[in-house]
Amino acid sequence: MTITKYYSIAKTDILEKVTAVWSTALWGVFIGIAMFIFMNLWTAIYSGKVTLEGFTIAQMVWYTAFAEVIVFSTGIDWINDIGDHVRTGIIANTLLKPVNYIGWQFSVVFGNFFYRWIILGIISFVIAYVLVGSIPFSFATLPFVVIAVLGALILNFCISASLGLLAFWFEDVRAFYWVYQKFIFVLGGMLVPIDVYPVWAQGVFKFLPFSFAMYHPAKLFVHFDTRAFITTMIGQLAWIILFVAVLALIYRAGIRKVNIHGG
Amino acid sequence: MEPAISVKNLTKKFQTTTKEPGFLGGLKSIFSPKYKHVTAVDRVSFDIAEGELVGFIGPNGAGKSTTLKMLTGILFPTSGAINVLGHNPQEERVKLAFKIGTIFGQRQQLWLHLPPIDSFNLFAKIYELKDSDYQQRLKELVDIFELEPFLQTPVRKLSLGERMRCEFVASLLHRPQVLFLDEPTIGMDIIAKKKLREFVKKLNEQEKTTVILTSHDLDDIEELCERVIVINHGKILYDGPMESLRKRLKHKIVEFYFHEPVKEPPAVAHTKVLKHEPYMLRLQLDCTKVTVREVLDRIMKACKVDDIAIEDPPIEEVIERLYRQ
Repeated sequence: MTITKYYSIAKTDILEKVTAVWSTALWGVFIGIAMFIFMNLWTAIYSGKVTLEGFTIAQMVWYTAFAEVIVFSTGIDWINDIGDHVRTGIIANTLLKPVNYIGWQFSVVFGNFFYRWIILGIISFVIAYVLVGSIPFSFATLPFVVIAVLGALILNFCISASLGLLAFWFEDVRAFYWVYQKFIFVLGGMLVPIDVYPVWAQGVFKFLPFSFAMYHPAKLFVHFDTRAFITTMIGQLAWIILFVAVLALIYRAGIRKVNIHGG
Repeated sequence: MEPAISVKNLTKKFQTTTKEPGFLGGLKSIFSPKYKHVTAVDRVSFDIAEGELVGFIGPNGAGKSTTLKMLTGILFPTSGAINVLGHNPQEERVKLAFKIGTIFGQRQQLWLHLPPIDSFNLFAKIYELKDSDYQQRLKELVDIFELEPFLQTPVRKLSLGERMRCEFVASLLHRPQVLFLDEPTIGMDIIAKKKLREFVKKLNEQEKTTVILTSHDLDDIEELCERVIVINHGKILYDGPMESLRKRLKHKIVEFYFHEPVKEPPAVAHTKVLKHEPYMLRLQLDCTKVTVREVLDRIMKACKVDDIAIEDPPIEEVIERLYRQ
């Protein structure tokens, strides 16, 4: 019964999002523009080289496409959404129902993940194909890549929800959103794969949670390797356990501070 | 019988930051923040029996909504004890949520871009209703609240009255034993208000639902509630029958409609002329010093009267007096 409940939440949220499908599709246009710019940048950087840190230019473009879709589908914007729920008291609507607030939010994030993947995935992959053609990819590795992307989704949700719930103390969490977004872009390997950074930086960045929410699953897509998959699983699991604990702590402490304005 | 709701010495204190005006004030508040403590609810105690319909009234910031939010489990009290249907709302929020319904006039639970039926279907799952029970209940409520014509219309396109009726249905699908209504008629026109009051009355009578209602519109309270709790500055000023509250009134208003123009109506001791027109006289009389009969006799002896109307002054006056005390 409980699973049906959360499944229905996800379904209803998607139904509502579909009413504004054009706004999601607009993100696809942005991804297209970003990929076109990256394509030109990479062409200049490669300047005739076949590979760069193990990536061909085609792999680099597909990596960018995949990373863009991960960042848009796992959605760091949930930080602001959850922060707004707390700040405006909308959180009360959920608390008045026989559901868990975190469970509700995760259902929404999970549902949106699939919805965004379908729209943005198609747009991005078509653009990548038009720009550089296909890359060698074994469909047998697809289930493992999907598992890694789901791990990224869960990890990203735990971090985003924790930061969003800080609104119980800070009211406005947009600063946390801004910082986390930049960490994902730079340290998480969204702008460029971590492999192009200096060796010392790679050693650090590859173990941070941001890279497990972005770089590792994206790299598995263009460069699948069993050992890398196992490392990704261990890293994601460890960070997820830590951030689930952090999220639970913040939620338990925060819920006592619910303050609904008015009345 | 155990009361449906029992509240003992309930207190809620809030801490808010204060800031001096201007840029310097803003800087100062970062380095040495100043706090203000507000007692929103101050040692409030009451019991509400099963099936009662109780009005909760008070001016803005009196503490009525804060009390309601603590009863539903979403706000944590600073001290005191609450028992709603055998549950501590803060410790057993989810269990309690299956048994209560809430409508906050200033918040909405329906999904704005979807037709109400989608939200109802979701709530049926959330409240774990059996499909057959849900379909039967939905049909019942759709008939009562006359939702059929707009069941498939996106909520954002509904009028406020239609939206509130949908909110009621959403809150009643799971047959709550206690219904908390916080300003449910806010912003509604007279017809929509009247309809909603009828619905609430019917619900209370037919399903024996315990209802707690807060409203700024005293007509809501007067028409629906036999018992009323008046709260101000977080304290209960009055808790008792609506009728007794009315009896605290020390005066009545009598209106005379004359058959022919009256230039100078006769003076009646202990009355005050509120309005005088050639064919009409409106008097306020002090019931502690003169009876309605005495006033009627005096005027009717002196003038030819076609019609008479006797009114109690608006309940607002009683409340105002209580607030002033």
